Amino acid sequence: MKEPYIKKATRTTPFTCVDYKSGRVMIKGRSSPENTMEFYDPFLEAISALDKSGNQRILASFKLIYFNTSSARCIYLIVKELKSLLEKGKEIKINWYAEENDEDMIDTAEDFQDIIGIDFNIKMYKAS
Amino acid sequence: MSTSKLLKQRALEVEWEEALKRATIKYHIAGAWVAVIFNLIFGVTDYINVHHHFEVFFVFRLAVSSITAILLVLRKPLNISADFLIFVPVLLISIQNAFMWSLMDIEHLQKHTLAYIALFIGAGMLVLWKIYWSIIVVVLSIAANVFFFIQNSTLSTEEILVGGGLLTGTVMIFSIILIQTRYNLTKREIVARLSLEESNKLLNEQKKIIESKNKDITSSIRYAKKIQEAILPSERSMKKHLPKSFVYYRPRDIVSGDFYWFKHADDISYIAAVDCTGHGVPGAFMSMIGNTILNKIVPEYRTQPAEILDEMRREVINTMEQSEENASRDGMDIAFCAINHQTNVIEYAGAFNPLCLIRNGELKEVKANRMPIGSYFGKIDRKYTNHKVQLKTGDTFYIYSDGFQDQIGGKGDRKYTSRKFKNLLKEIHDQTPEHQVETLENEIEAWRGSEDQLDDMLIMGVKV
Repeated sequence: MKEPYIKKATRTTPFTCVDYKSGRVMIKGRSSPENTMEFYDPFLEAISALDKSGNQRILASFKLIYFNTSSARCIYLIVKELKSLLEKGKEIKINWYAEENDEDMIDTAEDFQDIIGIDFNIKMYKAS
Repeated sequence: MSTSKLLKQRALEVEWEEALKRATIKYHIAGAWVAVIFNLIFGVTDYINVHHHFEVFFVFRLAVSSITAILLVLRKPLNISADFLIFVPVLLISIQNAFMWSLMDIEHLQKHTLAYIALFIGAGMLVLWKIYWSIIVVVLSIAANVFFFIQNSTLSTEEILVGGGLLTGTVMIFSIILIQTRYNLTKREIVARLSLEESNKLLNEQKKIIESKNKDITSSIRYAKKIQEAILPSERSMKKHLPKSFVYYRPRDIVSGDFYWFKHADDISYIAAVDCTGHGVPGAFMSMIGNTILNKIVPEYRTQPAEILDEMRREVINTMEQSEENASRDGMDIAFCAINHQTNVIEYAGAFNPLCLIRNGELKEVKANRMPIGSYFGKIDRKYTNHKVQLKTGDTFYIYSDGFQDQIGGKGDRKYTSRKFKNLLKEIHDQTPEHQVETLENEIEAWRGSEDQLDDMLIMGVKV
């Protein structure tokens, strides 16, 4: 079994992880890295490697508080990658978390659903 | 190991030997002086304890102290080594003690044992030398003891051993171990200190390099800032056509990915608030592309905001097409307005960034198309929507980037949010432009608290 991909959160990057054993993908926190591609390319690669893992079911969680414009582009690519896994026959579930008042976070989720054509479970939570 | 590493190690070895030598000289000079002085002072105990031997003992003591004192004085001119300097008094006092011992009766022998032990303890405290010096001292001391015992003593071997011989011997062995341990410890301490100094020096050098590089980079970016400022429209030209307007512009770094744009032609004022992907230097590069494209197409080729955005998107994609990777991720969000001063009609089109119009205290949001100026959403077949609003006197409208409303702060990790931001606009829209800028600044500073500014901020407001 492939080792899980785990990157701890830093001041400017979110926590990211891909667990091949349980088929879980997670991104959590804030994202405003100086070089978004440098940060997201390995994560995208790790996600695409799920294709060859034995796991049929994949659960992806997005719990982001803040992301800058160029991170949004990268997150879009992540969703696209998940969609391509779906097309390869995987069962994909996407949980998108948004704070109650954060309309932009919900709008972004809706954009991605429309454009990429994949369903999200949008989950609202109260800010602590 | 590389040659330079070897050389460095050699240099470190030489350095620690010298540092050890310096420490040793200090200890040994002090030790020799202690020997000179105390060896004489102990004559007093001889006078009290073994009065009948006082004179011969004192001659011995005087000889030992004098030889040591002479060595001390001549150390420099004769280049006497530090080890020899202390070796002489230690050995001589040991021999002196051996001589004295051989003349003692059993009662005094025990008292004298303490004097002998004091020598070895003193040596243990002050002497720093390699072990062979200790062995020479011990061997010669034993020889001297045997020699004087045979020559002078009336006591039996057992009496000597029980009366202090064994104890002194033991202390002698401890003293050798103590000297050896101190020698190793001192050596280790010096080597550690030197390598620490070495790495500190290295760190300092690296720090200086980083500082100077940082300075170069920063001044280079500062220069870039001047260029970026030069392309931004002047406040004067904007105020000439839109007198009650303001621009709140707060880059996150020195240069910015946000920029604003203004042009006036044929009684129409064109204004745009643009947010390029990225901030800092990459954002600034993108802003130059955006600025150039707007200058090129407005109003010579296009005058309607939606058409302008369609054209702008085409141009951005063309400009970036060399790299598919960049084209798919880099782009701009924009709010674009054209205000016709004759008809008082505002036309608007937007990519993600809306237009907010406040009339009679009510805020109306004109929504933007949710597609960026760029290709990352893939679908470039859709066109931007053109909106028209008839303006009335007293109306205030705003266009902006998302930097302000997305700033994290407050209590805990929370975005300011667009809802809160629109409420803020409603509150401040009646203030003078200068006052509004001030309120915005105070509000975001209070919200941000100790959080870093996360993105560039740009807000443009116009009162009709």
